[in-house]
Amino acid sequence: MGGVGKYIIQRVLLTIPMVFVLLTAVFLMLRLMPGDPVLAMLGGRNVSPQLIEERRKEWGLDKPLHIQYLNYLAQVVRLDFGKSSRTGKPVTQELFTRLPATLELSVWGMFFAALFGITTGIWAAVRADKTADHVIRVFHIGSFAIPIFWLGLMLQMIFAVQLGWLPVAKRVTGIYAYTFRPITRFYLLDAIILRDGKLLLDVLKHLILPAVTLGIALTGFLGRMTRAAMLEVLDADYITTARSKGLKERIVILKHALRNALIPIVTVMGLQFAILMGGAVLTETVFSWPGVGGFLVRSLDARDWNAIQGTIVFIGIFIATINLIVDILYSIIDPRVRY
Amino acid sequence: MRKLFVALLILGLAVGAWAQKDILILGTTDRITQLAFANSYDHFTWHILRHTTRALVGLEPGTNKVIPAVAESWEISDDAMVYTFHIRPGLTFWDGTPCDAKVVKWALERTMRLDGPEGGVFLIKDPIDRIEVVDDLTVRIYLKYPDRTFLIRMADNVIPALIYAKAPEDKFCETGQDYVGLGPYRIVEYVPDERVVLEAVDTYFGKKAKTKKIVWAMYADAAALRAAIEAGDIDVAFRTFNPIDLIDLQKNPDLQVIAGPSASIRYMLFNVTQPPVDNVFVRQAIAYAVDRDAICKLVFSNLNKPIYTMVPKGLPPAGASIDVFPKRDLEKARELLRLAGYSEENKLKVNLWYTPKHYGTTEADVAAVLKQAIEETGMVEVTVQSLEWGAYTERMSQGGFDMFLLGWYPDYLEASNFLEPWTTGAPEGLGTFFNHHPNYPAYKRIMEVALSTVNDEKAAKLYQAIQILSAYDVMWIPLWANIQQAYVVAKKDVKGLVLDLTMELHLDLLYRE
Amino acid sequence: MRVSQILFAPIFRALRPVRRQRLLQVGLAIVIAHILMAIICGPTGNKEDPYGLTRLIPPYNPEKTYREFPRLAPPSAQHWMGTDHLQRDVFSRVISGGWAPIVVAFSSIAISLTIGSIIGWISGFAGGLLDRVLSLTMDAIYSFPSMILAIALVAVMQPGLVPMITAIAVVYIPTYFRVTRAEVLQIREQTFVEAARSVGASWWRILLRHIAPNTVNAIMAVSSFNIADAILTEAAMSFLGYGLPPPAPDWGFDIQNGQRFLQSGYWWLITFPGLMILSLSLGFGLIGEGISDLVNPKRRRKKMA
Repeated sequence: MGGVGKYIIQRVLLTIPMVFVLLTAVFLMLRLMPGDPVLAMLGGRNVSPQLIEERRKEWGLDKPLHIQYLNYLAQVVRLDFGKSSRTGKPVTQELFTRLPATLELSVWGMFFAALFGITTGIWAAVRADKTADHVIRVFHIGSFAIPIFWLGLMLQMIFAVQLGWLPVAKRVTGIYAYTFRPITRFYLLDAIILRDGKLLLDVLKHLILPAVTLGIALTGFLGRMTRAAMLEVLDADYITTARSKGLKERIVILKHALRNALIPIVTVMGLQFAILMGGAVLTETVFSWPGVGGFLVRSLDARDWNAIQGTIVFIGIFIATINLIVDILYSIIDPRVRY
Repeated sequence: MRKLFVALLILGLAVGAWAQKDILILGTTDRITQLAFANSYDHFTWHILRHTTRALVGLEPGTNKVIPAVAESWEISDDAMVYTFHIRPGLTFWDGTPCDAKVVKWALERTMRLDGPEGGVFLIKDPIDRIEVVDDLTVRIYLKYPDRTFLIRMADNVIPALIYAKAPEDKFCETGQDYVGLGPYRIVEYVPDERVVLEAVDTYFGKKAKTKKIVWAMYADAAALRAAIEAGDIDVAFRTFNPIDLIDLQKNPDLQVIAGPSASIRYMLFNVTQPPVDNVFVRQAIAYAVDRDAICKLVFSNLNKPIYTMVPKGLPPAGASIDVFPKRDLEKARELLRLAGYSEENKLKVNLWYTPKHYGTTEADVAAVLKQAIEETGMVEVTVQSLEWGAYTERMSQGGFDMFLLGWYPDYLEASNFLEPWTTGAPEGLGTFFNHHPNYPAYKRIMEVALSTVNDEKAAKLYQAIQILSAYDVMWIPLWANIQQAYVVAKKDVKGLVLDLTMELHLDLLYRE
Repeated sequence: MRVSQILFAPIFRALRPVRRQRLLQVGLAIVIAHILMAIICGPTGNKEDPYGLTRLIPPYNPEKTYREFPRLAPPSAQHWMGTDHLQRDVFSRVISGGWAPIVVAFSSIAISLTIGSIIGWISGFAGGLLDRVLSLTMDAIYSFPSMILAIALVAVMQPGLVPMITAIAVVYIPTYFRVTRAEVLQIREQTFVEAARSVGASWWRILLRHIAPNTVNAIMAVSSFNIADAILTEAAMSFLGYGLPPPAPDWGFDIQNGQRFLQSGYWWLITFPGLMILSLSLGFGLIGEGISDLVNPKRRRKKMA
């Protein structure tokens, strides 16, 4: 397996400069911010010039830009983004306590995307060029075109306010705010570990609307991938053979065709993480979901310098890592990629 | 043996279940900034801190009379320059540390020494000259100048005046567990953006808290807060609801919706040095043109009420508040604009600045309604602009706004707190630059005299004088009282909701029937 | 042959493929309707009647609080989409609110298209170290969620049209860079470029005369999808409060405002502006699909049984 090892090393080596360039871009971007970050952070209430100078020194903003840049890189390497001026806690700690919420939402968003995308994709492929295919195609384009925050609000309005089936927002009902002590912070997992059926149901109910919202936004992409992959497979010889053997069409499609079409679909799902994170920011805002995206929006509002910088860098590194892992996994499944 | 164990376990569970009933869950959209006595200056952080410890004096819930707290009695020298406090004997902190004069002196001096940039320490630091330990239970405070508000500034709703012990010498507190207090509650858990949990303390010198455990759950926005109280997730919801939601909630038979008195006001300010609003006729014209009724009705569904002066009604000293600003009169406004040299053809061009989130999402609507009201004169063109809070305050203190919206919530309950900051206190920091105005010395002198008198009647008259003058100089335009912020929504079985001008929810009085 | 026929013949010829593309037709119809609406109902600069070319459309001044209107009234014959809490006509606001997303989307995509394509051409043509550095930079930014980056960028500036355009433009530069560069790499090896090079044409001449025109098709297809995406990003920005100042009609911002009234059942405040965003974005999405079908007709089933 020397090939795999070599490929992994190559990919890792390629990721490092990518992340480095991204970090530099973030650094330059934040220095473009109009207004004085020190004053913004001090709240600007009757601040004395000495204090501003003091703070500037403390945060290293009095130094020339290249020194600031080196300090910033040192921060990133240590994963230490300083303290959030809004919450008073280290940004890294804030991000890690919120990451499970975002991941839980993303994974379930992905689940619903797969559910809607793969089923509609198969349907469209089987009925290729028939009415169903056209309708599904427009539905898939519509899923790209729908404003995700609006979709979330509409679902809230219908299923939470009008019908009252599901809660409007948050991760758990308030009553658990003091009785429930999260272990992993993946609430579903926690509920299972704690063997608390009521909690599990509560967490699930809270999860459905935001996850469906996020899922619908990704449905189009997966649906089209599935359709294309299925069409490819359905034309293959072994499917014709299976059909000629007199197997039922449903078994042919689900057992033989889908299994082979799934590999590229699953890979693409991994690479959709960037889009998923973008959607998560708005979904978290609409559903008061205590994740990384909501934290970023609040930090932007508060002009929380360390938190903004830290969160963006964090998301960048996170996505680069996910892409790296997916690539490597794919290269193991499908060795052709390596060459 | 095993039987005994099982019995104990069942008993334990039963007690646990019973104890759980002794919990109230409260919801808010507010956030804690930093649990530091010397570096926080916002309603919710102060609310939490003041329940964990007490100051030398307190305010009686409901009436706001000054009452004994850490000090059981006090004397004021005839010239109102020296205050002697006698500390309650046998007072101990949560951990048993005795509270004596030395600790009091240490706590106050630590707060004043740290004086954080985000804090309100100046409220006590400004008047205090030095603190002296007379004996174990007597502490004496010497002032720099006579200040009639001093005792009120030392009350426990002014967080820098709180007494605590065992806090780090040279850095701010932040976790809620890095000091010991004297209050009815202590903080047992704080998760930012999620919850803060308070537990009743046995050593509290006053009446024991009625509820063992208080959980504050923090909600992202007013919509989430409403959903939570409607679903029964929380027992009490406080600050801040959307007006429309309060109106809906009033119809809910399972809930009680109570409006407290409010000392929170909203107003417009002018930078009196910046053209075109350096012209007093322009400012007066705008004062005639603003439409308070429209704001209250359209934006706040009539929950908030128009005000015509900066000093809220009911603040001591009695009779300090007097309505001085005119009712809406477009004809008068036009007349004044013509005097200032403007006409239908040559329109006055002015900016209206607001900040989109700090005062709630209704602020953009307020700006829109104000713009239309002022433009209805037919002689003004208003450009609406906004900045996020950080940049907003920064630009404000640099004099970058001509006309802008701001709000005030009292630091201490005395009328001067609504007049002094914009006149003699910090006119530049608050963006009016009034210290460059020719009438500034007169305001300053009146305020100095008012603050140095112990005579309430005389002080009230002088405060009135400042309000009357302000209606001519128009460096501010009072707009509405934020009553919407003083609303508490609770389940029917929650009792002890005592609301007063401190706009404080007194947690130790709350209980479930 | 009549003159008009001669004049319009090329246009008809150009439009011929469109006739067979149902998606493209629907997309074009939606987008043209939106653009017409934006022109007819958009801001005029006239102080007395700030929106709409005629007095009839929009029926009321979308920015104005009318004292005689009911507050928060549901849709009716007089107010087709109801009224909002500030006693404004929602229908007038909705039909006058389209210009901002259209202007922002078109200008930002125009900017990123120009900058991205130029860098892409140069990078792809020049190759070597420059190409490697540029590709790496662009890939790094491309891998980052564009929505988050755009929102963060606009948040660090002041709210308004220009910051929104700038932020979105920056975010999409890598997309055009990648598309153009890939096309250039492909074309570069083709015979006619080789031929031009052997004749001794200068590199910029080859770039402008031979390579640039050949990348246009690919760019056009990508642009429609990007505009659809940019419209959503613009809406998200206004939703978060980084858009136009009040009381200007603005779909995203109106949805944010309507959110306060969602739980009280005032559904018309958020439903209609959202449908407008959806239809505008969908229109561009359909056009993008249509163009893709035209460029690459084999997208459909490979073998017909």
